[in-house]
Amino acid sequence: MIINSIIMEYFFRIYNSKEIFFSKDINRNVTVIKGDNGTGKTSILSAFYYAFYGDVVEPLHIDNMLNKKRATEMKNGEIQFASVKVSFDNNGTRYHISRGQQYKKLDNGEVEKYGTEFHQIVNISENKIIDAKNFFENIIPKDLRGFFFFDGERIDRLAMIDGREEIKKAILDVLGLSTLERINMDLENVKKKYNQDMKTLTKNKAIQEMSDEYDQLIDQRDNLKSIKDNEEINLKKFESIKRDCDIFLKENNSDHVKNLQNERDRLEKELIDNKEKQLKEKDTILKHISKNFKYYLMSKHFSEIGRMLEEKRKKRELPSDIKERFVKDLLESHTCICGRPLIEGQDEYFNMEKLLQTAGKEELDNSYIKLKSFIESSNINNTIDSFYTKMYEYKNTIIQLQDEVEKINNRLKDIGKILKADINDIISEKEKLRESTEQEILNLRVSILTKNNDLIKLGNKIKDLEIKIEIAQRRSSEKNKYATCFKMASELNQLNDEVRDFFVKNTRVDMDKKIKEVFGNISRKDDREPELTEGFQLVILNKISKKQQILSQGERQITSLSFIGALVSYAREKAKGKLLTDFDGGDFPIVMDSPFGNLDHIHKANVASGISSLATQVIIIVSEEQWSGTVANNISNRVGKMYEMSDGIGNGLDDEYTEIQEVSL
Amino acid sequence: MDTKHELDVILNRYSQDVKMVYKEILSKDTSVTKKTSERKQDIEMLIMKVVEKSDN
Repeated sequence: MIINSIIMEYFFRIYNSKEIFFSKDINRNVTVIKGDNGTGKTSILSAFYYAFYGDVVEPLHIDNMLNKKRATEMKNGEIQFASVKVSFDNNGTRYHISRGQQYKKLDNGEVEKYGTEFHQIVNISENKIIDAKNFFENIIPKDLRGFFFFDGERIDRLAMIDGREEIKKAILDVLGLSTLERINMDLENVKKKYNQDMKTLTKNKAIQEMSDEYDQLIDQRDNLKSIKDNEEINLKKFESIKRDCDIFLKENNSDHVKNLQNERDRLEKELIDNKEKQLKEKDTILKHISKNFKYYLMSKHFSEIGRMLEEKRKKRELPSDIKERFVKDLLESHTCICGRPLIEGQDEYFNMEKLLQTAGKEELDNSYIKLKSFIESSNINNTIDSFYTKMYEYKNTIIQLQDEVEKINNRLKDIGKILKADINDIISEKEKLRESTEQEILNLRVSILTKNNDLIKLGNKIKDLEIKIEIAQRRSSEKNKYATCFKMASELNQLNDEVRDFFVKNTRVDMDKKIKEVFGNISRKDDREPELTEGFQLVILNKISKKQQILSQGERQITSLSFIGALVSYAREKAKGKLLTDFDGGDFPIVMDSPFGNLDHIHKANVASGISSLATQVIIIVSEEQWSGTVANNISNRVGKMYEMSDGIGNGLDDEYTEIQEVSL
Repeated sequence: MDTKHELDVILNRYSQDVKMVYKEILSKDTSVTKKTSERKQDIEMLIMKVVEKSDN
């Protein structure tokens, strides 16, 4: 970043400055703004603070920004703008930053802020207004501004013991390494979120329980199926035995046995037919009930409905013989059906209109006709009459069929008894075998039927569980995904730690060298050298004994200046490297207010001769006293621009202001 | 050993995916003014993108 110029308008001591241009000449990179104490040096430093960050340097107060001379000149009710405009270049782009505040003079003669602050940044290179909020934070973060825009008399704090955190932070921030600190913090947050997501998903332990239940159900199903399969095999076996028995008895030499068996075959067939008939009858009667029961229920109300319809019809609340459309057509044609004219306002017309109230509406008419014909229809009456007749018929048929079943069963029992009692043991044994087999078959059929029902129920349970498990598994796969994400975030965290440690270590070593180099240029004591310790403490050691030295305020100022110079210089060099991020350093100006204040003669000379090498652009605000002599002699050949501040001539006590004039070199 | 080489040694200890995501994070995370939640969301999206790609 290089500052091109600044314009201050009614800003504290500055009445209305011309544009102050700063030197950008590489060989004469120093701009000097001279002024006696009280001429507004702090106003200049504050102008930079205000333009870039929106505040000012103590003891100035932002609410009193409007120049006093201008405030005195203003008429009651008049409004005046106090502002600062700075033009600067950053990474090849030119920006104009403007910030200001309106003030209004009240009737009592006092001025107060009027309206909100104006703040605008224009990208001149692309001719567009950009979002001003926090824009400058990305160039020089606010908490680092003290290293670039500072009061030289107060800079000595860096070389004090408690400066180490400030130093470390400055180095990391300027070199973009605080990005790495931020990334670590962000990764911690990301890991925390992933962990939370995983926890939420793990909380659903139902997946394990469901999985166990699923396994149990599958085992149960397989087990049941296997038993059922065996039963079916046994069933076939017993059926085969029974068939063999039947064939044996049927093909027996004894006609008596043969006939009995044939009779049994026939009866068993009849039993099957009987059961089929019963089922058919049951099906027919169910259909009959579902179709006709509603009519039977309603039938009691049909006469009542008929009576109500007739009553309404008599009252002309139901469709008359005249249709609504017909009446409307006559009214529209203004001609009666008899050919006489229908004229509005006459009795005929009025009577015809009255007919509309009772004329049949089409929808109502249709519904009425349908309902009336339904009630009167012979079908429905027949249905109602025959409803119970059919029910009784069914009951009788079923009783009859069941009687037949009973008779058949009794006869079958008899046949069994006769055959079991046969004098021929083989026949008797065969019949006994047949009987026990038949019982087995019956038992097995019942058991298989029950198992089939159980298997259907189990199958449904398994299906339900499968759906639940699938849903849970989807969550589980999400959990795995989060676990992978968490692992990656942890690795990134570790990598970032390593990269940060690597940069911090390297940067400290490089910065230590740089500080020593800059210190060597501006210090007058050859036996001392600065050191940036591993804990980022800036100390001055005796070169031989390596013992830490006690420093005077001036020496601390020199040490701090060395650090700032080293930092700016290092940032500039790093900007060319761009190892990791776009914010690896950069080119920064230094704006110093009174940098020679506490220095002795030799230090003054050293700082003055070395100050131009601290940054690409150096702006010094000095008093005439600090400037003249040693400083001027040692820096003049590096000065590219010089301005002088002087008190303007006012008319009263409360209208002080400063005039700034460029001085020819 | 120069700085660039030393940095490569560190990076090469990690998988291609981690390296790739890290470089992406660095390139996205240059603004000090970006909200914490936005930066967190950026990182989450970068990680998720790579993990989902690996899954497929």
